[in-house]
Amino acid sequence: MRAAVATRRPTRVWSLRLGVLLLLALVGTGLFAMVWTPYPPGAMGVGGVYQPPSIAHPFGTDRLGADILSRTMDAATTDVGITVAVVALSLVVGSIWGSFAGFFGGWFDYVTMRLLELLNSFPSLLLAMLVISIAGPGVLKVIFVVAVLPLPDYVRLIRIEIRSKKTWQFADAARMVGRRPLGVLFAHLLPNSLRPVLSYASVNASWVAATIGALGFLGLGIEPGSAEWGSMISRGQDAVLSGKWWVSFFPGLGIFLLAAAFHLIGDGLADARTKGGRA
Amino acid sequence: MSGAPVLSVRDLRKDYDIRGLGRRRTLKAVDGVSFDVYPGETVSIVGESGSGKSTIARCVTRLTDATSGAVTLAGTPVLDLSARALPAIYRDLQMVFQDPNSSLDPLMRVRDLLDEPLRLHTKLDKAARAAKIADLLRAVDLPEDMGARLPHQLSGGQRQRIGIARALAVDPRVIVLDEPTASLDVSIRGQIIRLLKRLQAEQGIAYVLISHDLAVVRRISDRVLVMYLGKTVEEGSAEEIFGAPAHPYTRALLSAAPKIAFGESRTRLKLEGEIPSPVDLPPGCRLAGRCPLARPECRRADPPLLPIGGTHRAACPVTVHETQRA
Repeated sequence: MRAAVATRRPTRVWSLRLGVLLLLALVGTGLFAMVWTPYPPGAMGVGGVYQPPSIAHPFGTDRLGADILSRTMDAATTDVGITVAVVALSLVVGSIWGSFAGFFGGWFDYVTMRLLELLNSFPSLLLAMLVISIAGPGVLKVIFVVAVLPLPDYVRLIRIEIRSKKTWQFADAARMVGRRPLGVLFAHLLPNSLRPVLSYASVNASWVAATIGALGFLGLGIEPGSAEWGSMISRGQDAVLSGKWWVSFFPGLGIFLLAAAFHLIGDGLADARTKGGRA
Repeated sequence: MSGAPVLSVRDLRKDYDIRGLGRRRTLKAVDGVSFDVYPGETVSIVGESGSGKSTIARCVTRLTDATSGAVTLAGTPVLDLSARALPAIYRDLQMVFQDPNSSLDPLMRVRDLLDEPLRLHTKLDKAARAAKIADLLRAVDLPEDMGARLPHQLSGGQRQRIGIARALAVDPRVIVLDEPTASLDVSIRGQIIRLLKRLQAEQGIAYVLISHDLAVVRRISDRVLVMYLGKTVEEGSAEEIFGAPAHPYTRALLSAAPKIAFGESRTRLKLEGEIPSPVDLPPGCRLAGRCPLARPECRRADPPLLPIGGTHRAACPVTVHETQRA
């Protein structure tokens, strides 16, 4: 009985804690930026052009004399928001889809698997670039495209868990207590199948954060000109070559921290043996 | 044993198609089994693994669909019910599962596990359900504060008590006990058996006990069915089966079980060879290849259940005649 074994303190709890702390800080920054930033983030010429970091402008200013701290904070709202929305969308859609495929099997499962193989056979970033360059930029389009790409992984993870658990006795027991098939699936099998997909979701979120940044950098993100870390880095490109590192560095730090936060959480979740020991 | 049976099984069959290379073959897991269960009694189905006893349990409860046959539960034709009408029968028919470690949802607290059947099968309000949950815990000798525990915080015996309490929740008429003690320590087994007997005496529930543990079967059964490769080879009251086993298979099974009691003579009957593959069985008695008493005619036709006396019947012409003469 695994449960009876004394629970050794998981060694990587610190990484879970650090990740959560970091994520909370970034979400906090994004929310806070909606209310207050040191300077209006869109305003040009609040300082001199290409000022290095100083007391007045801790992150320096850019080519147009805009305050980079304000813009980086403003961009946190967009980047963190989009990342969370993307992950939530793939998690919910992938879990429901994968549940049905694993639970009912048959032709639905077959079609699902062939469809996922098709989707997986394209390099994802390339596909995202292709779709967005055809469909044009926009927040919703970016969310949709980036959410679809990792969907096969979500569907597969849930599907295999449900398939292996549907023959467990607690699934039979659920029918005996009066559950109909969908009740068995959503009240018992799905909650017991979420652990792998949740720990995958946080690792996936760090990929999403980086991809959103990459699309922005390539000018394929949301509308050009709006504050987004990827496009801010892209605009600092020339400046970096002439030694003005701060223009790209701070938005880059944002992407790094967001990706790292999710990665640490994912790592921690995968390792942590919570009190249940199974499920 | 008066009045009408509460559960009646007629000519139950379950075939599995084995698809592989070459022709399609059929595995007859359950091959025409019939029995009746009367209110308040225990009918046990015994046999080795592979005898089809667990398949009977799953077919009777519709966890698996039978190939053919009839199951009547208090007048309801169970096998004919649509998927929509099915959940209603679980008010009268419940099951205690073999492995309490996997039959309880690991994420649900004990009180939610017991609340679920009450919520779905009855119209009791929240307060009435809470009172009923407390009654159920008391009925299986567990303290009330167990309600807040998760399954992994319970011992194996406690978990099986919860499994029993959950089956009792809807006051069913029949409970199928699928190897209820197989995954428990020997010391806990006795407690669970005593508990099951007490609950039966108090509430008049009928049990269908699936087991290979003859010691358990002997302590709790009124009537016994002995299964071999999907067929009933012998049936009768517990005294008849344990006192005067007629079929060579039953004799072998009983003489293989360890006995501690004094004064019981035991002539050991040993079967030769292995249990044959249940796929594409040859004609004749299924035991013929392993039976020391087999005669040439045993390999020709599958013997039917022959009456011995009382409710006792066995599917062996060789021993039945000898028993009757004696």
